Amino acid sequence: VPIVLLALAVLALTGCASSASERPARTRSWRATTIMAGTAWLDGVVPGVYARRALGTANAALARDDPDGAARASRLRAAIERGDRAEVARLLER
Amino acid sequence: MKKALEITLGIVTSVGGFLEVGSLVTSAQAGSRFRFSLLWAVVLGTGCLIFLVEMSGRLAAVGKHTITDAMRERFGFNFFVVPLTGVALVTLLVLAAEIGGVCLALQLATGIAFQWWALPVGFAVWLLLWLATFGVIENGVSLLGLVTVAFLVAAVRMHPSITEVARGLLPTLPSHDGARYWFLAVSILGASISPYLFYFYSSGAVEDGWDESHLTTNRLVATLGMTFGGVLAAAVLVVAALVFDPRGIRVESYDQMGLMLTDALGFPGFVLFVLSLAIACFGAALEISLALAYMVAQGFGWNWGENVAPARAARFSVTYTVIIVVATLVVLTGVDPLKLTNLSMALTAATLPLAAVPFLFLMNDAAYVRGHGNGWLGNGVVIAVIALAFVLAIISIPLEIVGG
Repeated sequence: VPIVLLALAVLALTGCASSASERPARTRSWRATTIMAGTAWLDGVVPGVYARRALGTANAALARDDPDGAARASRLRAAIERGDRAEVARLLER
Repeated sequence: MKKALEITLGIVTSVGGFLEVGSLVTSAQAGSRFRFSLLWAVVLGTGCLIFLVEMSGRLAAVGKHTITDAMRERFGFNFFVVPLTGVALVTLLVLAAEIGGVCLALQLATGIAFQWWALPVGFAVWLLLWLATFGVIENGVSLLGLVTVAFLVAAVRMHPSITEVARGLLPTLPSHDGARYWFLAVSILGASISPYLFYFYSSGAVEDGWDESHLTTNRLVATLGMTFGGVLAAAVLVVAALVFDPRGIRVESYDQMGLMLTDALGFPGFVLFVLSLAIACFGAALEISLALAYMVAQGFGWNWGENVAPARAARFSVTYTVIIVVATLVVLTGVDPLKLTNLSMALTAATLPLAAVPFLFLMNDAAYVRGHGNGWLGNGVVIAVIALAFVLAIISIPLEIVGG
């Protein structure tokens, strides 16, 4: 029992990569996350430390399939780090 | 008056202690991806849990046996060691996921990577178990867990369509992503019907010295406490559906979940989410550590009890110490906490038959429950849970690989 459970655990933890058919939806999801996190910071409903972290995660998630989206997440993160509200608003097209 | 207070406290602590990393994550993922269509899984899981928890309490109150005690005595050690090993290993993963959940909450609040929090959090869990009594753990942390009511407040404030919510209570076939849909259904059931919950509940009943006069208390606490707890899990799903689905966000990371309550509650919503995640997971980590130590100590016939000084139940104390160290090490490896949570919930579903089958025998054995054995309804539900548990056991791992 322990060996079978361990083997299944390793298989499951390493075998959950998103399939090709999942990629567009995943990309849309992380782009939307980028906008939501940036907007939330701009509206003052989340702290900068959280917004930066979320945008860093979005950047990593988008890096392979959507370089433009990843770059925007990265620029938003940098702007939030500087406290540059105007730049964040510009990047969010608000 | 004293009884009413006891019942109220029992219900309140059951509600406060209901949400944990598994129910939070699986409900949030389900809502973000399938709107309300997996609400039925929350209802089904909560319904099964109510019956099993009530039976665990009844066994403890009437027969003065915990589930583990009775299993070892009734079936013999050689049989008992199989469910012990299976359930203990999976529950250990769940514990790692809970400690990871607390660390993630601290990461959301501070920006410091969750691995750095693993040791302090593991130490805090251990220290509280070492110093506190059962009452402090059961009541104190669960009362703090009432912060999770924030999800219900947010759900109400967001005015979900009652018709759509009601439709979600009926099982439907998915229109897209079938494997993911069923994987999440299995995970929600695994998160709801976690064996550690009834092992902890029956051990707690013995620690609190329950007798036959507590049968009504037991019935009310199990039914109302778990029902309100299930409502909270449903509220998480509803909020996730209303916040994430319209934006096309599919929850894949705790970093996304941090935004769940901000639409409805603004900045306090972010704070309440972080507190909910931290307290719910910390409370669950305490309960799971104890439940595992109870299982091992009762299984091997050692002295046990959270109300006993550690020196007088040395092997029991060493057991939870080792368990916490191992779970903390798992978090320290940096494994993705969300994947760990999903995996541990699916594996919990896979090991459910090991935990559910003994109920059918124990709750009909007059040596344990005397005149308070199961009626036709109780037995019908246990048989249904066992059938469900076998289906889950067969499909959970393939679904984890295909849809996880």
